[in-house]
Amino acid sequence: MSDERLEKLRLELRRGVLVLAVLASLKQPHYGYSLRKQLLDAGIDIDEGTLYPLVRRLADQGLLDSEWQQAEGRDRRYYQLSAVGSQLLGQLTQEWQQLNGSLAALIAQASV
Amino acid sequence: MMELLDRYLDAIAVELPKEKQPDIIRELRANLLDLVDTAREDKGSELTEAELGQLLQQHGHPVDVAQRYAPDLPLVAAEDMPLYRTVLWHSAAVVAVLVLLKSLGLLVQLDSFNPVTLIISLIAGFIEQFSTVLLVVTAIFYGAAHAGWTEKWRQRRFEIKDLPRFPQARIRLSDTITDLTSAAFLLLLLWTPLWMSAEAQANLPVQLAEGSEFWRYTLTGLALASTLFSLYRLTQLSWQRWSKLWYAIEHLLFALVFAGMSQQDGLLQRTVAKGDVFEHLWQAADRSVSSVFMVTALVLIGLAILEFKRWYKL
Repeated sequence: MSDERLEKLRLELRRGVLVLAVLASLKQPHYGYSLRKQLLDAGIDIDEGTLYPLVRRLADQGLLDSEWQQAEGRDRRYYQLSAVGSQLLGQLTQEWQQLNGSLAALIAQASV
Repeated sequence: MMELLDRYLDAIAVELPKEKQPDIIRELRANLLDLVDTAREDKGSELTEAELGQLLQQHGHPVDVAQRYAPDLPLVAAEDMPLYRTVLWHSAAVVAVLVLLKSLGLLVQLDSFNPVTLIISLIAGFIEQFSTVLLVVTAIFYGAAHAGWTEKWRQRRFEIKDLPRFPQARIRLSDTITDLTSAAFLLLLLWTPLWMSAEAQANLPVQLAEGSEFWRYTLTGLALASTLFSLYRLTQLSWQRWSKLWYAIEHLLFALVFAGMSQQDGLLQRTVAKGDVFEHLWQAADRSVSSVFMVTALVLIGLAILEFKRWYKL
């Protein structure tokens, strides 16, 4: 398989779980850069061109609350899970765990 | 140096919807300043103008960045394409029928026939009319998507039993359009007094003779039935046993009428003045009218047999 195709499939795979990763990271308030850093520290490297618009979209959908604050002498928009977002995160986490379990079993079978 | 950042943000702002501009630009500025800070920390000193320019360059083209934050609604969403395509096909068919009828209507009033002119006028007429249709249909889909209506349009119901049992049972749009055009043109020919000026009518080379009213009304009835049946078929995916049977019977009825017409003398009257340059052609045509009707009847009987066979297999 070509590197290009692998990269495309890898991105597609990650895109599916990106929302879950962002929602899970925003139990505590974060602004754009700090969120990206938190995800990076957790091993999830997301391009800011993808991450920041995604966060805005989630906020538009009511899953995140946002607030402008002054920090380090600069205007920053902080995002945090809303009540609806929190509920959705619980449901998505369950879904993820179930899917992960099923996939792990499938992959284990395939590698025997 | 921050002038570069302002220029970059201004270029993004013009690509954004006005109502979203202040909020998105404020947030982008904050994010980009963080990006600059990180680069400065990594470098250990202030960025040069060239380095800042490179950083912004890497961030993306202003149009792409604006699209990420406020993506344009496509003219027609990918999910709406099947319906959009169907609407366009049907619209194209209706436009084709109308343009064809208009051209044929004009043709019967002309005293000369130039096939090239006819084809060019057909193509030009179709392009002109269909461009408008394309614009209107696209605008409707775009507006409907904005209003959130297209989601409802996508929720189409279907019954498994209504799907074609096999590919041949599918109703072909091209057949329906051909039938619709033929029936409509026949009606136009039969009822020239309703749409043609008396002067133009007087110049027609051939007309139904007086005393041929029976055939005019019989053909009108059949053509109207055929038109209604074609319109019904436009709403259906596949042939049902009854519809295929009716289609075969329709061919048979037309065949019987044409066979009957072939046996009647003086059905058509020629209105071309004596001494016309086409005189000898019209005389030959007079003699062959009966044969033409009989051949038409035989062709229609052949088609009817074919349709009966298809009905039997359904």
